[in-house]
Amino acid sequence: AGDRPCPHRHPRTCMKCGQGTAALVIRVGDPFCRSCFREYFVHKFRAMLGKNRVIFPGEKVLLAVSGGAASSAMIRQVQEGLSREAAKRLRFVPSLVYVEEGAVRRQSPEQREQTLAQMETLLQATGFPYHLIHLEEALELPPSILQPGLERTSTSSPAGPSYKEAVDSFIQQQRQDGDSGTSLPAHSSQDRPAGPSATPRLPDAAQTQELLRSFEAAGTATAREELLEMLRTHLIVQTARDKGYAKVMMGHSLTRVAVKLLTNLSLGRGAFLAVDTGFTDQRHGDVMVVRPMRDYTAKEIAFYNRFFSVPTVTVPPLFTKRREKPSIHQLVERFLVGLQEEFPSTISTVYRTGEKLSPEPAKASSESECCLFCLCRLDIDGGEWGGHWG
Amino acid sequence: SKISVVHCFYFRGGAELLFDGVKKHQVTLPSQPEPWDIRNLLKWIKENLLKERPELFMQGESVRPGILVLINEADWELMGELDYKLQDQDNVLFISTLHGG
Repeated sequence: AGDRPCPHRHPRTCMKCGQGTAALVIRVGDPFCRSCFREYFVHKFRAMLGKNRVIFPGEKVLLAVSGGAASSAMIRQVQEGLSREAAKRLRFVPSLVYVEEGAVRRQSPEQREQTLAQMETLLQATGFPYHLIHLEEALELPPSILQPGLERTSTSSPAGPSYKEAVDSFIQQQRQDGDSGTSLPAHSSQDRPAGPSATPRLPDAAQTQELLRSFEAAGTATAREELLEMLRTHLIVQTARDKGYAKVMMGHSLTRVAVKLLTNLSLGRGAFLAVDTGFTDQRHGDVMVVRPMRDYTAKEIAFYNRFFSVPTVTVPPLFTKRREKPSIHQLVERFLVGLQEEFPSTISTVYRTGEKLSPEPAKASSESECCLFCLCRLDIDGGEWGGHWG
Repeated sequence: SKISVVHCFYFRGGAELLFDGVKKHQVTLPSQPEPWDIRNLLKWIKENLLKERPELFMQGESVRPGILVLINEADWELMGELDYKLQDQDNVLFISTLHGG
């Protein structure tokens, strides 16, 4: 702790290649040059997907993006991965979804339009199909969102064969078709076309009011944060269901995961830490959520975005009431990030402890009840909790 | 001898909301006998640029945890952090990695 490099007049050298000028310090005191940092960053994404073999080749994956640093870096990693030479190329088919939340972030209609325009530019530049939805649409979610969907068992779905079998059959298919050199099929006509006519109008004022009423009814800042996350997740999962995606990628960074872990512990969700913060989250049944950015610290992401010009769109935070106490989320973030200053291993230690938690059994038996909101099994059996700590 | 220092700073990732939304500030620091280091620069920012809620940007004499500092596109941890002596035309960039508030 407190191991800081002494002030240097001369620039320090990258510890990886021993040649380049160090541009940043990673972890505890490891100086990296830009080029080695880029390699490290890009490699980590590939290793993450390679280690957890859940994304099948040719599979449609929905990337949930917020305009924030982590999800924007995630888009870039997917782009990088898709453009690599054939042997190492990522082979899934990405689309993007953005949930516009201006109503609860105290944005005026003009500001919301501006944010939307900025996001649309960002999304269009990727060339991937994208979906823009408003948080108000959560008011129209079907009740079926409160239940896990049935996992697909049809033969056309990749959920049938094992990962290795899926890869082998994909490679065989490629050889038969003759690799055209591109890994993206033509855009499906049901996804949003890129063009100014496709810009969605804001929801009508009545819907916005109703949404705000729900949020104002949340008694504390903590409850409001949880409500926002829940509605956003439901909207994203519903979009995935509607458009036929079996996988959703969320841009939760290591820092965010560590904060979520301690926050959820404080909220009494100790039994579900693994599913809330792990790489895979299968509570929705037919749609699997994965978190490929969970190995990246907020600092790494911020530097990567700066060095390699990853576009982002900033929005104001969720509204708070005057003289309201901060949410548990904010307090935990402040606590962890503050502790990190003096003890640079804090966040990674919390994170690694989280890694040791084994996931809750994915399928709740038909007898046991699930929570309507978070779809996790009701934690009512005594003595179960101990078993989750590895 | 007197030194006049000019530099720009940019706020990204939400930190600019603390400075009236202004992202880029090009400033000339007044000459003074003490050298201009980051420590003094932060004091100056607090007194001259911070429009509201200084605790969202600073903690004690340093930046609030969660705010990254880049000096000429490099991590300030490599340059001595608060002790780094500013040079003319230096660029100092603050990036907030924090969520709400």
